[in-house]
Amino acid sequence: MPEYAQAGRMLAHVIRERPRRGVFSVQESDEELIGRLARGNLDALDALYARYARPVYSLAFRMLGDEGEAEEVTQDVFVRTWRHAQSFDRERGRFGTWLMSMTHHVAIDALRKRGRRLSPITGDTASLLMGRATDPRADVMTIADEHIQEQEVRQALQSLPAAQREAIELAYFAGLSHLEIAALLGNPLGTIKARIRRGMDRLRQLLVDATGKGVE
Amino acid sequence: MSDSHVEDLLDLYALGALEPDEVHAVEVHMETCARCAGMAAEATRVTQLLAWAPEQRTPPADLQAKIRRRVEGLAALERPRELANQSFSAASLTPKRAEYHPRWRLPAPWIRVALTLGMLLLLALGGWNVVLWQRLGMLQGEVARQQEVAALLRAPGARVVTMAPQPAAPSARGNLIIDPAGTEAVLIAAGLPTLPDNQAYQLWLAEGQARTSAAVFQSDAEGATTLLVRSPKPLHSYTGCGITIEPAGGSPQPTGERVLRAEMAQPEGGWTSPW
Repeated sequence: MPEYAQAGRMLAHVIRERPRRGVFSVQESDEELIGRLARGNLDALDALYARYARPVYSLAFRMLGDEGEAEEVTQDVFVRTWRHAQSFDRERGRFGTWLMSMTHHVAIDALRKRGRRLSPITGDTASLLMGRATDPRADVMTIADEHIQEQEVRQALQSLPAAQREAIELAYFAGLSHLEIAALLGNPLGTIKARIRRGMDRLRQLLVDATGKGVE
Repeated sequence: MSDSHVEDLLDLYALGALEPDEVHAVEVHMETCARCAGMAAEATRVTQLLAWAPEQRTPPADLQAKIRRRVEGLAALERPRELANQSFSAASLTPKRAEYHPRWRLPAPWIRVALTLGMLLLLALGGWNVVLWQRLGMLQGEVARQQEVAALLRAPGARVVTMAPQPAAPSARGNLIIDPAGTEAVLIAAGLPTLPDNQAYQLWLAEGQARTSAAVFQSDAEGATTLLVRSPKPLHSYTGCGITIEPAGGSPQPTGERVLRAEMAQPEGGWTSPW
């Protein structure tokens, strides 16, 4: 019996010491980590980085087409995560959604600051504009929502007719307005609006309605 | 617009693809229309998912350490205040300490002055550290940009478009050097008049009568600029380019005086290389 008592004390010690030593359980949720970060534990930032650095960096690179700028945006996003950890409200949505929305905003700001209204288009859109199919190989790693995987989002986007996908990607990833997209593609404004509306309707069907999934 | 629903604009609103006046109109409408606000929220949920669509790339190996150092530098700025708060809390919320030190008094004035000076020094050093990190980050970005420009200028087969000065700026000169793939170009201009803060130069690409904005920029104090331009369409598909003076932030279409222009149609003898 004394052995059990000693083992229990050691286990209690390990559990007590674990957060202080920056060792995180795989079960620790994003919300728990952001809560710990709000209390000043910078190891929690490392854990969030380990989970989200790839999608954050990938989105920034996709929008900016430049490794250096994508790195700057990624830095900014995680510094802001630390800075605003206390203001994160789990009632208003998931941490991943909050983080990726912040990434999108920071990258849009970067696009505007550098004065390129014609932003670099890379990856999917470049392939689209060049008339090539994108690489279907996709990582299945982080989950945007607990029900929707990244690959599902990619597949939904890829399933759109090329013209609809092009208009939506120019709006979201290149930060262009509908007027700018119409000018860029040489199409009437009404055509661009209709393509975006039909494309978004289809994405809604694929990602929200048909599956009954959706995001928080 | 507030009298009728704005359903047709909600997807564009969620994508961030509306012009500023349209955004304002939609938001004013949604203040009193729960139905449109709900539809906009749903459209926003769909667009938020797009953030996860890009093919995944691995960030640089040292990025995490850079972020950690930057955050620690910023945290160091705030630590003195937190420590002061903790000391105050400990002193005021722990009665036993007060019992053990019933005659506790403020430290001597010279100690307080020394502590204050120390904290100010710590704050100054922390601030300077942050400034240095920010400057380093900017320099690293600038170096990367310059390397990209140099690589483009060195690329075999790079093509040069010489821009002619216009009456508004007779001493201006500029070259647009296009990479062999035609997706990137470097604009090198000099002799541009210095503009007031409320104006900027804007580079336009012409395709028939259509004008597409390629960049909004300021020249430096000597009237020069070097600018990297990227285009989703091959630059060879444009028939010309020009630079105009526009309000700061740029215009949807050219409105101001033109300072430089060039035809971009390929001449019979082919493009000339500057080297």
